[in-house]
Amino acid sequence: MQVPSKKPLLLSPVQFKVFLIGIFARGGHQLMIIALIIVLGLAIYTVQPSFLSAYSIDNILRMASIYGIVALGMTLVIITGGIDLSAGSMMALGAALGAGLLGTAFGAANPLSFPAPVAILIALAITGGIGMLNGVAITNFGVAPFVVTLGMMTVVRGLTFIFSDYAVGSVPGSPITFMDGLFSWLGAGSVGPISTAAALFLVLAFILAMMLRFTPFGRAMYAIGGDAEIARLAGINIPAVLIGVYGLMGVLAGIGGIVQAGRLSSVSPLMGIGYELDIITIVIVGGASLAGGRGTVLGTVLAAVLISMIDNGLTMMNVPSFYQYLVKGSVLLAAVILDQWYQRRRAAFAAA
Amino acid sequence: MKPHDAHKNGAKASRLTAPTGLSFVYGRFSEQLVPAIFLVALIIGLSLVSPNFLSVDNFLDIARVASIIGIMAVGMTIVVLTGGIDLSVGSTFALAAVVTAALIPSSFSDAPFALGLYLPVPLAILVGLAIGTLIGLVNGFVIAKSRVEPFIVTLATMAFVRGLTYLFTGGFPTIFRPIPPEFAWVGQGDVLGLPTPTIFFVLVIIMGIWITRRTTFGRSVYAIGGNEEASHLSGIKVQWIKIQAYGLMGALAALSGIILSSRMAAAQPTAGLTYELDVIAGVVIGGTSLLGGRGSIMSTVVGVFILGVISNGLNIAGVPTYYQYVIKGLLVIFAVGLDTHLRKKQRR
Repeated sequence: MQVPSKKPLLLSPVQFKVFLIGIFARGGHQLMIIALIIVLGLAIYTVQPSFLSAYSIDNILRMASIYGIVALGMTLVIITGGIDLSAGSMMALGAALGAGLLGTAFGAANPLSFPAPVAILIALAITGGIGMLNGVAITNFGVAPFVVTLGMMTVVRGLTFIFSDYAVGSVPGSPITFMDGLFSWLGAGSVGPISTAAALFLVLAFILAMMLRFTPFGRAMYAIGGDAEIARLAGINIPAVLIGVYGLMGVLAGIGGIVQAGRLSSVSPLMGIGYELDIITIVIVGGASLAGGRGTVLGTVLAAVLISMIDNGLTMMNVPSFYQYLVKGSVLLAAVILDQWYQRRRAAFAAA
Repeated sequence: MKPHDAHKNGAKASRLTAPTGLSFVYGRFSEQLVPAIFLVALIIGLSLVSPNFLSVDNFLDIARVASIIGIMAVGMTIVVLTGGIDLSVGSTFALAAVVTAALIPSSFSDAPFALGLYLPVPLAILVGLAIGTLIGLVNGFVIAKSRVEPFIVTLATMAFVRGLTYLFTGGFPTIFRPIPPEFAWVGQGDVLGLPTPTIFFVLVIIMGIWITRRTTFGRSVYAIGGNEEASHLSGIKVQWIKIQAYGLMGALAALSGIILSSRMAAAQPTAGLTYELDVIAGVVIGGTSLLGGRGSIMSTVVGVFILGVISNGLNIAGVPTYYQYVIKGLLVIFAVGLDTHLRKKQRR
């Protein structure tokens, strides 16, 4: 070669190319989201400088955490090739149970009164239990997850209304308004420099990421999503795994609802209507495939931040809320089409 | 015996012992049998619980209410048969309704933006239908060309079209002062004692059955849902069939939206929110498989009526709304679970 390098390179060109391909192949999707977050963040910042103020960032992270915690559960469900449409209702039930069982709500009518930690645990046990029922119906009756959770969405919404009326006992459908230290800390407080919600989100994300990567339970989810028949032949106990996954989904939806309740100090029985689709959007933008077998916790975390940032940025730029629907729809479609393109390129790279 | 002979004998045997009488009926309608028995049981049960349930007026009422969801469910059946799904029907429903309403001369809205263009009622309805068809075609085009899952594409268009509806109306409902009689007829009139929405529903059902049973398009729909790759290899224009299926779905969603706006004498930008789930529920309860390739229009009709009868019956029986949610959801899971379970048993 006629071009001897003067300085010793850190990596030879070939090594560098291998390194790039490695990143592109393993984390390309996450990199794309990070790039989008940076580009969009700077773009909104130039229009509205207060977008990057500490207050605004804190706000974005809080919203991202509430959606994100539920989206973590949805990630697991989607990795197994399922879907959970009851997530929004489950958030409302978790929040209503947590707040209602305190017995200190404004105009509280129920004789039950528990300390906050117990109330939260009972709420999470119930949403987790309902999630497991989803899993049982899916595995034992062989009904499509879409149908089971569609039915459960209505059932749980009904239960939320019934419980709210039982807890408050005024006009049917009125919200549970309450004040509680633990709830406020979860929804509106902070741990050191970051909000409690964000800290909780990151801790949960870390635990689930480790679980997906290193435990048999986590690996089994990918196996089932990839090919349920092969997973069965490989000796994976599919019913147990699926019941566990939908149970976890229920618990995480309950946590999301409780954090939201703490943030607002109020639970409307209408909370979370339509959230299931927003949450599925986050998971899909995060790189999971509805066909199952593909998806990462990191992708979901980044996507939750991205979507919350877009929502917040549009509001701060005074874009009428109606346009936000157009943006949301376009972002989802663009993300998925980009991902299709990326998958094809990746396949080409792998072949090369 | 060679496989070829076995095939020949099998065909001859089945022709010789062609089912007659009851077993013929069973063979012809076995697909709908479980949902239909479920429906009959529901009707009997509800009649026993509340004596007011079993009356001609009430059944006409059920038919009228069920027609709105039912018209969309026919289109959804065809989409689901291809192995797809359409979540954007509720938004298409609303957009077609508000555009049609805005084009009708005596309409009024507080919207800051006005078309300033008025058309005779039939033309206005045609424009609404055209918009619905267009949205459907766009859905189908993106799904067929990009190979992104239909669930996601239509989830995106659901948000997008709802946004367009809000932008078009500014969030305000469109009302009529007064509603033109031709337009009122679409949703409120009756023909020979049958409500017009039901007449439309029946026509749509007949069209749906004809399409799925007698046309190349309909048979291709089943083929694609059964095995897309094989259909492609056997020369079916898979992409074009899909585009058409979603286009038809869009047109039917628009028709349904226009009928409801006429019935309400107002077009709401929030109309049809979460209707997609009711429509899909009707299709699935009838026994059509979300995997595609298996199901029929008649099954969906039964499914839609099961949902309609449940809502109506629970109301008449005086069950509080919130408990209705719980019962309805459980019945959906139970109906589909039972059907799936029996089907599995039959195969064994």
